[in-house]
Amino acid sequence: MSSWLQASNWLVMLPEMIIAFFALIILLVAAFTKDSEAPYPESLAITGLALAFISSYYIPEGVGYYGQVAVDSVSRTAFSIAILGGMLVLGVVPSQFGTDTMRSETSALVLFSLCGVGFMVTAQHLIMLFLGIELLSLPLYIMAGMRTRDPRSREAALKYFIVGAFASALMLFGMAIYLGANGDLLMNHFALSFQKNAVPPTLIFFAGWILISTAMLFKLGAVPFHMWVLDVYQGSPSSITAFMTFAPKIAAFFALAKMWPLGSESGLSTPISMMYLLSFLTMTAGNMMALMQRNIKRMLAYSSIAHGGYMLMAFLISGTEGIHALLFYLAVYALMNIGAFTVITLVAPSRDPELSIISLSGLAKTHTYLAVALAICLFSLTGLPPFGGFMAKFFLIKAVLASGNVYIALAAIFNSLLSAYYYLRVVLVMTTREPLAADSDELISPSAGFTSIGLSSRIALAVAIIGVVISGISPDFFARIISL
Amino acid sequence: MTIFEGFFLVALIGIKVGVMVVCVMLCMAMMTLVERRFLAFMQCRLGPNQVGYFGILQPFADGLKNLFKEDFTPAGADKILYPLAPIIALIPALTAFAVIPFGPGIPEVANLLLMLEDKLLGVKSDLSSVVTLTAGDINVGVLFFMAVVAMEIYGVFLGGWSSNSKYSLLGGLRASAQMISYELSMTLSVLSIVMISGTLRLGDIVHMQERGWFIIIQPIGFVIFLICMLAETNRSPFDLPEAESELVAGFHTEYSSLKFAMFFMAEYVAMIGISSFCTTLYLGGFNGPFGLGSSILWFGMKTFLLLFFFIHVRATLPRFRYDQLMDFGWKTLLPLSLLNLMLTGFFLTVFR
Amino acid sequence: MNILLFYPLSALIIILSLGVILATNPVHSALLLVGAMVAIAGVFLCLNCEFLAMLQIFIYAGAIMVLFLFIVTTIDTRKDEKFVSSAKFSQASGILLSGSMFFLFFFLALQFVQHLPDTGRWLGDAKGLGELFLKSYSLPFEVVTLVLLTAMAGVIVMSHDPLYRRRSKEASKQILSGGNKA
Repeated sequence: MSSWLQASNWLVMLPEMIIAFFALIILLVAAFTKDSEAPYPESLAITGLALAFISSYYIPEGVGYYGQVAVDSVSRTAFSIAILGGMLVLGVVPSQFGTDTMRSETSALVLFSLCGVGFMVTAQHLIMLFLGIELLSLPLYIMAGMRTRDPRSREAALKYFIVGAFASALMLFGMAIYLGANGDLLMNHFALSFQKNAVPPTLIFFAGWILISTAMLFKLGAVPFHMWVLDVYQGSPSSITAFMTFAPKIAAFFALAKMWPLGSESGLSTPISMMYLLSFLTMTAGNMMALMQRNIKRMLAYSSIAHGGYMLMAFLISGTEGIHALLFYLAVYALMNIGAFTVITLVAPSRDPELSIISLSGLAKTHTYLAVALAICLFSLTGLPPFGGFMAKFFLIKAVLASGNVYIALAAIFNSLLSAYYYLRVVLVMTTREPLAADSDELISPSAGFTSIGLSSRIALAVAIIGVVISGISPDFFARIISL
Repeated sequence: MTIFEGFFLVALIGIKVGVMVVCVMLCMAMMTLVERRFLAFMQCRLGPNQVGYFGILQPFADGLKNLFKEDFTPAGADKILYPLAPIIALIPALTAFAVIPFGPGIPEVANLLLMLEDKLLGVKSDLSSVVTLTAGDINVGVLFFMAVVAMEIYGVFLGGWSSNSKYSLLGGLRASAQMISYELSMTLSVLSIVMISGTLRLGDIVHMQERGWFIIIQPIGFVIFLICMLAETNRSPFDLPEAESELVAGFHTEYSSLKFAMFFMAEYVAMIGISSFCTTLYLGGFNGPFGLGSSILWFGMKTFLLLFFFIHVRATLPRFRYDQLMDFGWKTLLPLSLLNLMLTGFFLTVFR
Repeated sequence: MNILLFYPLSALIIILSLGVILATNPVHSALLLVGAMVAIAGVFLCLNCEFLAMLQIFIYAGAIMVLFLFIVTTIDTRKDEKFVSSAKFSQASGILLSGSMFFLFFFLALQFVQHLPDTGRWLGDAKGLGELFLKSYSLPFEVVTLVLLTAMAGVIVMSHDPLYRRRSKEASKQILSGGNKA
């Protein structure tokens, strides 16, 4: 028994275990209490996440479970970001679902999904990676369809599920080929094959690699595989969409980082040119299509595609610098999106359910603080100083320039300029237009928005906004908080 | 192994299978008669007693009658699956017998075969493992039986679906839901036996029961298995798929002639099969009680006892309502069998 | 690996799988899938994995596909037939894409033979499989349970209708609650 404990080194999985344990507790409590009596399941979930976050500081780095998983500082930081983001989202969930009965299930599903993130970023075996993807995605499919009476929500769930199943199928096919090429499913074959002066990988290895990477790119919503993003982001409940924007991205990026040669370290030109093309296409197409969106959620969906494109640039940088810039970017990105979607969640009940950008007109007058929060998030998404989005882009583009990829850096800068149009248009609508007739009766006081929303989402929004601001003003401090 | 030896082996197994199928079919025929006579006895009637002594030829008369009846296909029935369903029902029921050890090897037959082989092929190979009363004592016998029994659902279900009749469809749906539900508890109780014996080979399980039957250490498992056995074969009180008061005749409402006869045969063959399985797992197989030697006769007696149980239950118990059936399966039987599994594991770790 | 049996079996699997997607009747599709499952069990037997083969039949063919059929039969298939795509372009591009994928991987697979893992060594019986599950694959084994639990919770969430009032099973309460108003 003790030998098993030693050999498994089970402590490395402690945060995931805590999260799974709390998810089970929540489900059990929900099973044995009446729907209306469930005492704030989110608080239980947030407690669990906080414990997991703290424990992740103390667990040893290293390989665990017979080489199935390995924890290092990067995977730990990535997971911490996801955990923090999850906590904020759980703060918003109550005001999304209100007194609906689905809250404990939602909390448990968010926790399960975060568990999946943890397994994906630490996976050292493709089976583990696959299970991580499934554990991450299944709750997302379900939560996308949580509003069962809304056809858009049902459509989102179905589309996400079918595309996700397709990606999983690609991944399994790739795994079969990978097994044939290497004789086992350990992920270190990627690193070994992409070393400098390594034996050039065989064609069959490349086929497996491409298929598995494609599955990850599906999860990212990189451009040839992005079609699902729109309808899924639009149809899902807004607070869940906030979770969708960052959790799968974090997991997929760091899974991809383990299987993709960073920069020119492999000496192979194919992966670099592929990533060049992917990154360029993703950011450009995302921005171009965001330009003509009239719906705020669809606009943010395209913006998340575009940001995925920027982040893909990190793979063009050799060494750890790109990965660190990516971590910083993802953390800020998660905060910005949580902020934006929280505001959308909170204003949605009083606006038209389709959430067109026009319906936000006059928000600055009706809900001043919410409008300010949204504006900060949008400025940050554009990449305007002094907000976090600027620093994130700055670090990333600096690293890309240092690695010698000038053209893609220029493309990223131009794309950011382009994106200013559609982000700032929303700010313009909020400030200059008169409120629509329907909600003018709500115009009581400038802080009306604040009193009518729940405490937890108020705190979550405040934390997200403070995070966005701090990361812009003092990036070092911010980096220390997320244990970078 | 030369090609002749291989041929010999295949021929041997073929003969075994042939004898087995004939025996099982005869048992099945007698079983129908026994059931009718016994039910009549319990209901103060006479039952069929005119054809032959005690009506012993009644099953064959019924068979002939079925043969000459009109083979009717309802309009809108599925062209392929409608005739196929009875066959799909019967084949797994018969296949399941392949792994049942009916008795210890008969030494006379074994010697005869060895001599025959010696004369014909001029080789003296060790066929003692082959000359048992099992068609194939494979190393995953328990799983094989369970898998084949699981396939029996398809016959019933497809029969119900392909008839293009609402009664049939409802019967088929009920059958599939019921069999899936009770298969779980059955598998879990069988799993306890597998945990104790440490093997999936039915022959080994029987040999381990030479000193004591597993029913002694697995009473809960045995009861669970008995109940699930009734549900798996769609027998009373779980005969909802053919509940005549609601569904006319359930999944075989539209079937007539030989197709109906095949469904009928499948049900009785499945009954005999699962009784044999239960005998093998819990009642010591062909081992006699109190160390009284081992013989195929013991096996037959125990199996008949279980079949008698089937009939007795039918004569005494009323039918479940459907929600009661599901509640009982999922909320009583499944936790109970899980508990049994845990207890078994506990005692195994403590006392081994 | 018994090559003599493997090729006919794989041909059978491919034909049955094609039947699954080409059959217009969903029940026929499901049944062909059952056939494919059983044929895959045959492939497992070729690899000396008797235990796995039996589980394949027992669980996939015997349990999961029955539930599939259960669902499929309760759907009105005649109504859904009109959803079969008749767009020539998408059909053609689909065939072209899958065809080219097939040839690509077919020729890649010719390189395959270099690393065939010896599955029979450790997957042959329950003991080897159990050791794998409880030792080197203990973590994935546990994670699978989480995935399944999530799926189960998801099914309940998706099918749960908060406005549906359940009818009591007790006859007296049924009358009191006013019959079967949903």
